[in-house]
Amino acid sequence: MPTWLIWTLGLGVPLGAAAVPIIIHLINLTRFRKVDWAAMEFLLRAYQKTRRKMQLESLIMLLLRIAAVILIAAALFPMGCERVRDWADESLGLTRGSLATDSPLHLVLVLDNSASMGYEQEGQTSFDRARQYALALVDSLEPNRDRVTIIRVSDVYVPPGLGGVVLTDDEAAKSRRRRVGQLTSLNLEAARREITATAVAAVDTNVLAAFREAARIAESTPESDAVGMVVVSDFYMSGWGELRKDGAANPEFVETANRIRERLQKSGTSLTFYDAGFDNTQNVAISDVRVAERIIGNGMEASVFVDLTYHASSARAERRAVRLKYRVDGGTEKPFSGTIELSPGERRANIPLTLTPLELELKDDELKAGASRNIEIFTEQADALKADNARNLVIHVVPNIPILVVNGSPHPDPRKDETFYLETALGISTSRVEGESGEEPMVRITPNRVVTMRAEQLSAVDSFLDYRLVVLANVRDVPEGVAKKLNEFVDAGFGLMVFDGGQLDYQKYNAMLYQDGKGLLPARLGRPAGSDDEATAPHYNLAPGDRDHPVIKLFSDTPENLSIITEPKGVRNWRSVELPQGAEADPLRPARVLLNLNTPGQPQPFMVERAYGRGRVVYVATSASETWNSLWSMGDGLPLFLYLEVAGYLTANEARYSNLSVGEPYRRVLRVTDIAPSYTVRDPSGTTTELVSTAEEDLKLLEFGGTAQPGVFTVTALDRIEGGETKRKWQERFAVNLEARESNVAKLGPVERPEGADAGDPRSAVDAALKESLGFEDFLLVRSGEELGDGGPLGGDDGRKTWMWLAILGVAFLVFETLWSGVISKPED
Amino acid sequence: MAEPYQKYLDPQVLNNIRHLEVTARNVVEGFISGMHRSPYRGFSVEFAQHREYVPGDDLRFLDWKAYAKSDKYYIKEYEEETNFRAVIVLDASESMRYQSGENPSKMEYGKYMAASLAYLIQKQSDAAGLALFDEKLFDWVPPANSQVTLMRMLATMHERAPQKKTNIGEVLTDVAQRTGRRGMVMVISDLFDDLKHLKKGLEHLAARKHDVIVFNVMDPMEREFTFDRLTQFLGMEGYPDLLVDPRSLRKAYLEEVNHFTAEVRRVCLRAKADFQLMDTSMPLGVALQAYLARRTGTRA
Repeated sequence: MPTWLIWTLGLGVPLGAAAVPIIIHLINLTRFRKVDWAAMEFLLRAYQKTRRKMQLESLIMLLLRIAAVILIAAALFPMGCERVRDWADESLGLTRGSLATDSPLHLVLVLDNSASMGYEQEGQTSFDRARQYALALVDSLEPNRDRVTIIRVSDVYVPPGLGGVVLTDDEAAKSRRRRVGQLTSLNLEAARREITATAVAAVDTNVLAAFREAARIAESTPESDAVGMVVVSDFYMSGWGELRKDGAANPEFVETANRIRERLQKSGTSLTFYDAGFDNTQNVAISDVRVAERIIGNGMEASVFVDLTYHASSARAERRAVRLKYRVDGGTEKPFSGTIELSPGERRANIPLTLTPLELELKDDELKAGASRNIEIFTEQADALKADNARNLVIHVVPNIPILVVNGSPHPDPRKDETFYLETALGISTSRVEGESGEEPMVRITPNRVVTMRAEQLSAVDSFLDYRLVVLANVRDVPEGVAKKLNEFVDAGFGLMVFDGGQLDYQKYNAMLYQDGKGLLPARLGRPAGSDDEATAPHYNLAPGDRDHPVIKLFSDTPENLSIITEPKGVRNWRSVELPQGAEADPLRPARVLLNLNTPGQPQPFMVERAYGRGRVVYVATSASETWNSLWSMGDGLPLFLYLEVAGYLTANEARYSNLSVGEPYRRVLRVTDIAPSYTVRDPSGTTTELVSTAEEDLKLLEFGGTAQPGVFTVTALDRIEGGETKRKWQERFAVNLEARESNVAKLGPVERPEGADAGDPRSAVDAALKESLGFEDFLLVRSGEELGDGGPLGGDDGRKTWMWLAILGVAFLVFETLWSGVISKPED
Repeated sequence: MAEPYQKYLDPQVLNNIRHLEVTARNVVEGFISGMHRSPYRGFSVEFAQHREYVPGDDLRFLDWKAYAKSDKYYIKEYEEETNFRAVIVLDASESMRYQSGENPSKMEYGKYMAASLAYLIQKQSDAAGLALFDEKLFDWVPPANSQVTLMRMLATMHERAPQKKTNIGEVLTDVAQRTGRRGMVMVISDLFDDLKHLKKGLEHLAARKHDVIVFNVMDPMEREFTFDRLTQFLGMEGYPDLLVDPRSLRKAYLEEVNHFTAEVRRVCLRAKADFQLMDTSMPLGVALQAYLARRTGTRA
């Protein structure tokens, strides 16, 4: 409706109504009778005495009539009288419902369905309360006039075209399902259906994204419509912590909230928060489960570590005793911890669970492709938030990890052979358990299966994709075709390790593999910088370069571990390398120096890594054999541990995506042997979905984004056989777990609690925190149980109620006045 | 200028007078008939002497004081008074013109009252006279006991239409001067005048030893003021008009009226005058009763 029309009606209707009694009054003044009167002296005297009172009464009656008519007009014609009512409400300090408006209302309902909303007390979850309130809210709207947009704070969103990209760690982190789902502009019936159908999504709360979306929707709503916004949540730190940044209000949130507020102000509504959460919360969560080994091979033990955290709304909450259990693939429950006593806020990390080779052992039909084992870890007794009382860990047990070692300088004498030591180290496959007899089962240390090849055979390899790691040891050069296949291999997500040596033609390497920073090699190779003479050449020790690197971190954790790297002085010859500079450097995938050689003056890069495509390449500046060093014979075990770790690091892609957080997409590179005509995925609830593989740069990828619920998902590749039937080609599982932060059920509170505020009052704490984070105070916080309180959308519409009562009063007054006039006109006895 | 009584020859006037006279006579006859056994019987005669009681005498006339003194029964004997003079002073100011509904105007009511009183007085062989006034005394019929005087009084009242303001104080002073010997003065008026004037006039009458009865004639509407809608009151006797909602004024008005009546009563009391409030809806017998009550205590 145009503004001029609103104003015209807004002023015209009440003024017109107000004029009615005046006109009637004036008409009545012209309708009187005339009487000759003798006792005029008494009348005049009475008139003199009562004149002021009469005039006052007359004026009051006139005003009352006017008011009564205005009230009735305002109540019956709210559209026209909107401005008058607003003005009166403001003047009289009447609170109107936070959604009270006479225009068509577009309600933006932000509904928190994150995992923490599953917190249960007395048979009711926070989400039950939230849903109940949301439905009541929709019921309070005007059918055929108002509409609703529902923003689910914690939705799993599967983007169209998901796939085609195997993510780096950073990209994977960014791709976490920090998204919200929205259902735009629903009619009330559809909104009711959607609210009823909404369930706790087990995804973390994404308040900022929800507000961003709400701001966009509010601002795109036509000016003629009013916008209201109600945020229904539990206000636990789990999701609302992001209102702050660096200990202060998050400026992005403040800016977004103020945009919303500005739009709501134009509508005359207030931002409303409904707190559906509970106050005295206690929650013990299994916050993380991980396996120490990068890859588990058949016959290996697995070292699992479990973290427990006790979240409580109060530091004075009682201590909790927890016992942990596990089971493998739904088998027998077994306890693995004693009673663990936890104080509020305490986190107990690295509670160990060792899975025996027998528990993980591959069955006969799994020996070829390997199998996934699901380890379910759970607390003996469930608590109020059940979602984090259990956690799944899928361990992909592989028959072996095929590693191709290319020997550039074979020799009949093992000590002079280029890869003898390396093969032994990487392929160290079995180890008798200490103190046990030879009949006891063997425990494998590594899953690796080493395949050795002479350098001359390289050109005959069709594809390296059957391996997980290729090691080039003192290989003279890499022909163009081989270089291309290696590029594809690494780009597909696998590892390449390059050892130097006296035969290596550095110029050809630079040309074929470095390619001015665009190739596989992490650095430009130069000439050898040391000496081969074992007797006379000085030997140098190593020093950690990037201590945060996963490989180096393992050694730098303790001084003892660090000494494994730093003490042996065993390197006498090495190749000088030049790290990428200027245009050669790729800022997104920089070369990382894992280890330096402590040479006099400037330390020399010894082990350098770079990411390439979806894989990684590690270059070692000395030989894999002892021709340039004495590392193997020094007895410290440095090369054994170091190269095993590097190999594990470079082949870890195999296990990378077995354990995901809710919403994190599943991605798998399909090897040639893995490609099948069709693929399916079965979610924890048993629903099976067909997957379509995607292709990018000749690589087949299998992707699935519907990881909305925690549990174990099963991916199956199906081969077609004769007659159109299908046969399982391979199968693997992956686990999806709740994000750990969603377990934090401590109530949101201000950074600095205002002086005198009751620390134990969650309402004032949430209120203060919101004020602090929003940067304004004209919002409304409705607590569960106070739905009908003052000013709330479901109650406290003082203005509307008062108007109705005043209108009734106005009618009553007019009726009474009419009747009373008749009464008082009768003569007294 | 013709004498007032000459107007009696006018058939129209005569007819009107007749009507007035007949009404007065009916009122009085009816009144006397109604009080056949009243204690006022025989009060129109003056006490003459005592005589000894003989059986058959009405014991009501025994003189108990004489019996107490002499131990003998004496009957008080009366003789008819022949020289009692009563003047009826009738207000003919404009305010007497007011009437409400079916009630007669105060003037009409006053005329009937005056005629009835005059008739009654003459019926009892007393002399009745009439004084008509507004701002001043403008018609005067000296008291006499004759049919001619009665007719003159009736004619005088008939032809006088209320016109001017009231000035009762001056009029009563004038009446006091005109009535030489002691008598009775009956004032019929709404008394809408300054009470100081009334007081002054009554004091003059009292000084001349006159017995005074004040008949305060009012219309029921003036006493109750039951108007129910917006009304413009047109002032009489020079008062301004007033447009007002009478419902809102009623209480204050009635307070004024009641206060006025009380004040009049008080003034009359002080001047040893009888006061009788006459509502134009009341029967005229009330007025006659008041006269007789006063007459009982009067001695010529």
